[in-house]
Amino acid sequence: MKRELLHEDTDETLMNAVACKDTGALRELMRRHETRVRRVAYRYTGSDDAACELVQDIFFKIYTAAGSYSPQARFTTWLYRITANHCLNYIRDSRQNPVQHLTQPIDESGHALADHAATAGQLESLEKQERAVRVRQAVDSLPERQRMAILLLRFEELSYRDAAVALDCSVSALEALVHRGLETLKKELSDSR
Amino acid sequence: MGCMKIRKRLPQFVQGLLPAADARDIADHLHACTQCHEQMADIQKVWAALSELPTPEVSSNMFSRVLEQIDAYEQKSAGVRWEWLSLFRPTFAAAAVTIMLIGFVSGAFISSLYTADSARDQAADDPAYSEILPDAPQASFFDIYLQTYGENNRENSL
Repeated sequence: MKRELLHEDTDETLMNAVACKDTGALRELMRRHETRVRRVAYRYTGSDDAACELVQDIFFKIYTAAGSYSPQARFTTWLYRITANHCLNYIRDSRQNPVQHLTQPIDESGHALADHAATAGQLESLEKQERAVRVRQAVDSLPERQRMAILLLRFEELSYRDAAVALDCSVSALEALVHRGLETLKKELSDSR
Repeated sequence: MGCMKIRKRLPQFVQGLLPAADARDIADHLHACTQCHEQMADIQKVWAALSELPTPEVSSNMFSRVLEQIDAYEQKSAGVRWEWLSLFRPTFAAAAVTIMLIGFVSGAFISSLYTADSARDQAADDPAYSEILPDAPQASFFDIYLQTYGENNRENSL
């Protein structure tokens, strides 16, 4: 018999249902957590297409690995771990250039659009884009694990313990990653000004 | 708390994620320590700069894509299972026939033993054969039968 109260089920209950191949439960988990996964993937890779691909792969992985999920662990902690793993592997495997679409926008003749910008609004928008490109480049200069550690703390507001679980390391190792990452970012961002 | 310990916790302090008591301790330390205060200012700058990273667009129809992937996976898994089983189909059939034959032969053998034992017990209880049995303890029921009825029949026929 199909269950009805998916909205009221906990993530852990839904995961048990997913382990029994209930795709309705997976749909509910995606409704709750897709944004979270997409946010991490997008900020990590800097590419919307890559983020889409990762979201798909991560939720597919959740479906196939649901049997190994232990309800003792919070679902979101497990989810961040899978997300972090997929993101790290994605970059390692594809070695894509994640900042490609964020570089300064150019027109068909190859000139930067800033050259043609006329209004103050356009200039402001272009400056904002340039700042975003600089920050993106600084983030991309970080080694993969440092990058993930910084993004999880900054945007997902994870505790050190949860971020350490996501990256499969100790809290002290995570602290070291964050410290080194912040130092690099500080240097990169000050150099690019 | 010493400076090193304070600095490790500054990222969380900046985001306001620490318990109130810990945050108070760090705030007190920052008032007194210029170097740690500078460190905190640096982290604040980096944290603020990171907010320039764009947020992703809201996705749509991702579930249907995942579902397609799941369907393909399930079909492939079912196909692999069937292929794997089909490899063993002739073996399974041969094994099943062998087991049936062994069962049939064993059943027939056990049944014949049981019938022979029952007949022998019956014969042993019959006083007519009590004289014969001690002399021929190794003789089977059929030997005794032939010895008895065979001779009687011969007498009758004579």
